[in-house]
Amino acid sequence: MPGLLSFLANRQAGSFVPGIDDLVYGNKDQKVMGVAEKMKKGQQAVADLAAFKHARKSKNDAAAKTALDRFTANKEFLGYGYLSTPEEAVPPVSTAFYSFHIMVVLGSFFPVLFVACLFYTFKKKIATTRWLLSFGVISLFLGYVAQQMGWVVAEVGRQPWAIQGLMPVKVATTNIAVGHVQATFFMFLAVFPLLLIAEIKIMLKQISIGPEGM
Amino acid sequence: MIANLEYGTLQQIWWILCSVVGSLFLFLTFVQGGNTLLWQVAKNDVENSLVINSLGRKWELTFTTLVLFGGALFAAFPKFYATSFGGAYWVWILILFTFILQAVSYEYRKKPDNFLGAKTYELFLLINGTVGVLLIGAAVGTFFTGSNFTLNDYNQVTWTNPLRGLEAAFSLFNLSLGLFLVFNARVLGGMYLLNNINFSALDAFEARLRKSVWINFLCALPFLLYVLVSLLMMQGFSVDASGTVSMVANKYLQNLLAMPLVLGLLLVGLVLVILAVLGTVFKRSKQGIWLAGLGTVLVGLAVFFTAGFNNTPFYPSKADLQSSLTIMNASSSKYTLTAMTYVALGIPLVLAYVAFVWRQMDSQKLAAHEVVDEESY
Repeated sequence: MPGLLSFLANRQAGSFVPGIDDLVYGNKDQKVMGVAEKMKKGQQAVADLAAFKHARKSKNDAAAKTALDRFTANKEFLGYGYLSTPEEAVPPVSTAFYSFHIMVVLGSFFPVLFVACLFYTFKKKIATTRWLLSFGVISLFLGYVAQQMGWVVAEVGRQPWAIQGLMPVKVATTNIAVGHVQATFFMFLAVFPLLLIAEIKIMLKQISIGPEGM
Repeated sequence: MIANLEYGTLQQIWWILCSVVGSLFLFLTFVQGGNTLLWQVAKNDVENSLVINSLGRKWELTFTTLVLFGGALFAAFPKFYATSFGGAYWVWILILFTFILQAVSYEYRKKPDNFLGAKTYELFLLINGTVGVLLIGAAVGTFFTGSNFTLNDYNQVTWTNPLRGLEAAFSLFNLSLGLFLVFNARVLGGMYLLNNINFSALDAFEARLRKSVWINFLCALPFLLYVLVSLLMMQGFSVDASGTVSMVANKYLQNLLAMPLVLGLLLVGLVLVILAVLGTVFKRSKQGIWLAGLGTVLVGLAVFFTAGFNNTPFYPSKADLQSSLTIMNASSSKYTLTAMTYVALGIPLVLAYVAFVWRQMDSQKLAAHEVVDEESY
């Protein structure tokens, strides 16, 4: 829809909305700062922060103040100081793109399904409308899919940031050996499928008993 | 009024609030204690179901309180959260897993076609009540014995022991505190069940519960004594006005003497628990859980206050004294604590709601005929 993104981003039609290339490589005409420049400022901020910490430790108040002032000038770019290349600032685009679209498509489908169910409920035909009930059963799982896609959008789409612009995920991670994380993963892998099988078996049993059995 | 509070006051308020939640959790471990009693006090299916259903109505409260304890520490003392949960990794992950196993067990245990069988789910409950509580006790013990970590200038934690937190369980003091909590939870569990179940025509069952309260109390005593005596004798971590941490002889004894109110909490709490046990065993009282519960909360408060107040780092590092965390250097900003304090004004409402629901739930004692119907666990 023409003009809609401009309206969403800047609340006016026909404004400039920077794309990925503009954001990464900069766009002088539109005054968009590129990541390379932000990285330079960020590296300066990282260095000034270190100088500040060092000066404070050696109880040199004057040097600490100078370093702090220099840091404050660039502090909003702190996180960029940890990036290796400008391209690192771009999240995996296709993963975020498709998971977002799947989520939105499902999110648009569910209300339609609800309205259809409501309609057939009022007509007192819901119990005999087989095709709609089938959609209902499938939609139980589609709900899980939509939910997971939402998580993917949020967590993949935010990369590389733990805190936007200030702290990349690679700096925020716990200082822990790979083996520990793998061991935890396999613990989850052992326990959760076991409990899932139990849950599914219990559910199937209850479904086969049906509402008459209660 | 809250907006005018000083930073130091806010930090103390939040240490008190975290301590209250932590102490309430220790009381609510009657659920974990009850889980472990199952194998000993229930001799048939009906008794089994009575225990499970009685605890099954409360376990979420315990779990939520544990999560709230972690959440309150995260919000008020984020540097502790970041240091401990990432650093003492395995002790927290294992506690988490024992609670994951517990969470499904009540629900699945008696359902037809539950794949693993009722005995497996009862084993999960046992693991939760023993290993889970023991590790929580060991983790709390490190508030006094210290942990193995260093923090760099950017507050990034390096754990200096390859066991990543599990080493806490291999200290005699921490292990004793953990075992004391396990047996205390079993005492509380027994008292709770006595209070919650209708024992008409189940006299033998009731007698077994009373006996278990007595036996578990006797088991708890040596560990309690060891913990108390060690706590008073041990070197403790102390922080001076400039923020420098050093070891001080009999630090925790000094804390109790410097804060008579805390010493009072400890002594009154212990007396209440003992009175509750004696009342339950010799006077056939069913109200022991309330007295012992209050006693446990008071003892818990005394433990947390001794660890955090009177210039004491509550999460000390024995690998690098100067990395130790105090309520001053580990807290959120003044702005955050002020905002959180406004929100905390709603706590009484939440507590009142919990109390109301609890009363409604327990207005009738759980009777044998109730646990055979479809709704039961």
